[in-house]
Amino acid sequence: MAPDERVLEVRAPRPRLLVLAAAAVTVAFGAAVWAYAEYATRARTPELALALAILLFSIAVAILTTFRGTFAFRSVQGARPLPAQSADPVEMVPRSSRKSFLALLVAAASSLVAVVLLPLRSLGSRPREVLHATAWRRGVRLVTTDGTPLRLADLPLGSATPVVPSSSRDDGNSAATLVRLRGSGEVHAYSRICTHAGCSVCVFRADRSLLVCPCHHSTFDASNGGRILSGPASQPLPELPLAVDDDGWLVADGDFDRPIGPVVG
Amino acid sequence: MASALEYRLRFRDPLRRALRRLFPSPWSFLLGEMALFSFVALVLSGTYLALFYDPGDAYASVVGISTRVPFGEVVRRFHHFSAHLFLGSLVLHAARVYFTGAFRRPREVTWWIGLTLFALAIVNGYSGYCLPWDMRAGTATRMSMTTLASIPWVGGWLATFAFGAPFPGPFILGRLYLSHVFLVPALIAAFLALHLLLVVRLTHTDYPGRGRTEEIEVGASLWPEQTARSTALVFLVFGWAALLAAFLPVESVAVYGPFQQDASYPPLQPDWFLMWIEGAYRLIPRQLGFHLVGANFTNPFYGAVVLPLLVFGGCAVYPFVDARIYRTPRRDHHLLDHPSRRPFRTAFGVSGLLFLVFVSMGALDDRIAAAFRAEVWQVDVVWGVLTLAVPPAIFVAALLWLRLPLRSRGVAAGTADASQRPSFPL
Repeated sequence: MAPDERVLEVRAPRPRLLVLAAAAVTVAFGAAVWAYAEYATRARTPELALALAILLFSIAVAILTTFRGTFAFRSVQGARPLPAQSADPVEMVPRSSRKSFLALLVAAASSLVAVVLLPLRSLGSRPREVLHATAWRRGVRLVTTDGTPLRLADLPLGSATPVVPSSSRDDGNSAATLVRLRGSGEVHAYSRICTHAGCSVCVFRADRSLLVCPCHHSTFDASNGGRILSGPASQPLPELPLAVDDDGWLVADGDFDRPIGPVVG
Repeated sequence: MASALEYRLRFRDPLRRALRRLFPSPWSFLLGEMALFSFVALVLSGTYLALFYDPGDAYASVVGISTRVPFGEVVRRFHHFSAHLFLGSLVLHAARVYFTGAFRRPREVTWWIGLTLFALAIVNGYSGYCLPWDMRAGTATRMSMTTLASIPWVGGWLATFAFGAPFPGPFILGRLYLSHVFLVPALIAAFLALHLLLVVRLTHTDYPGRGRTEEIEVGASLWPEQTARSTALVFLVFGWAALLAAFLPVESVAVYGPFQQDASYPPLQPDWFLMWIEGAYRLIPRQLGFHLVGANFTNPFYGAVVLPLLVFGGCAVYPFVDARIYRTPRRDHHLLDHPSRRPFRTAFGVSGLLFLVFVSMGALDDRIAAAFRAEVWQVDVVWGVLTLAVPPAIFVAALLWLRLPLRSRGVAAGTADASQRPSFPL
């Protein structure tokens, strides 16, 4: 004990707790055996985890009981250390040499920053090229995700079909939903990427011609150019102009009518 | 043997000093240690999972961990619930520090480091549930890209730099993985070390009580008392994670299926520690958006950038606000306040937490709408108004109630301080 410490309170060890400690160790061994048996035979997850939990809890009990069975618990008073130091260790070097050293460091660091910017630049390309670019061009066929092209007659009234451009089926930015309205029978294709947070606008409520994003419930009017009806999205859902090619397949008549995806800040 | 080591390492004196460090006894002082040990549990179980995880084939490898690796699902669940314990104990620890005024001079920097740790823990929890790359993970990752992109003027660049390509692109899982298993944990470890170093330098706070003053601390030594307590706590924390793993499954992977931009998915909710941001995403009306000098200010920016900055920034400056309000003398404050003696602090903290709970409940707007057969937007309007109205009302009510004389609340004066005897958890 340090000279500046004073014992405030001592609670004597309680040897009878060692019985509990022995019991806890026994349970721990039992749990370990159970875990081994379970692993060797079926390795069922809940049983294994429960065996592990029992093992860990009984070790905790064993530690606490062994400690209180063997040691006295002492509350000790001690001085709080360290009043704040007023002497500045930096002052040991003359101010003028410190200044020139710092100036040199700043100059060296700024040249380093200039060079570090170059590899950073390679991380990504221009935002407009990456965030809003799609593969839709005039004449590109609309295909389902397994590559099947579509005709008008393939679309039942009140249906919604996920479509992608035949030219690049894996391009996430180009995902669209082809809807056929129940009342008028009109066919529209809208971007599948919500203009709010970028989730997939995958719910079509045919009775009211609504496209709904299940993430945050932005609701767009599929019969009226993807106008916002409710929810946090601030831009309408981009619409893909459609046409029918000479063979009767549905094709795009250009890119979406506005930038796809969430608004860039 | 020991003297041979001592001859080469000269460790005996520092070790002796370290073993004599005092630790106060109230159980709430163990919440920070709980967070530390759940971080250890995360590192251990996470290292095991990394032996099987493959960012190039994320979904299949996670399904493999759950189905083909014996014990793999146990470790996955253990990792998952350790994360919940980590964040949960951080919240409780921060609340204990806040409501008892432990952040006061000279511990402001410790408080800031703690806030940084909390933010890092949230970030890593987030990347953690992006890694399985199921429908929920992909959607969450898409929202993180949106969040970056929503920052005015620089957002587009930040998003493309982070993702390197149109969403999802070939790099994102590798980068998320690197940040989840190395970058952020390394930062957490570094800040944890700083946090603990400051705790050692500045000593523990304590409740007022027998023998405790601003100059003298009371507690049990690191050896043997605190060693026994802390070692037992390690096993208790691990035991809790294992117990939760035994009874609660980790959902998602099998439920939602792999992420595909064109797939349909049910309404999703994030884990509880991100629900406040998700709720803000839903509650903040689009009408608040505007355009200014080439930049767009939109809902994702308010919800996922402005709100967290306000919350963390508010917590960061609070120690100075508190010192102003209570005209705290400019000296060390090692003895803690009872929350009932600091009406503004307590009322502000309670209503602040209540606000976060209300915002988080906004993430359940679709479930509330289903329960009341209402439209989701109607729930958003009503709940948004309640979120803005109820916490301030509770603040005023709590302030008035706490400012009443102690007697009228049926609390005998003085009980607040006298009950704090050191007590061992046995």
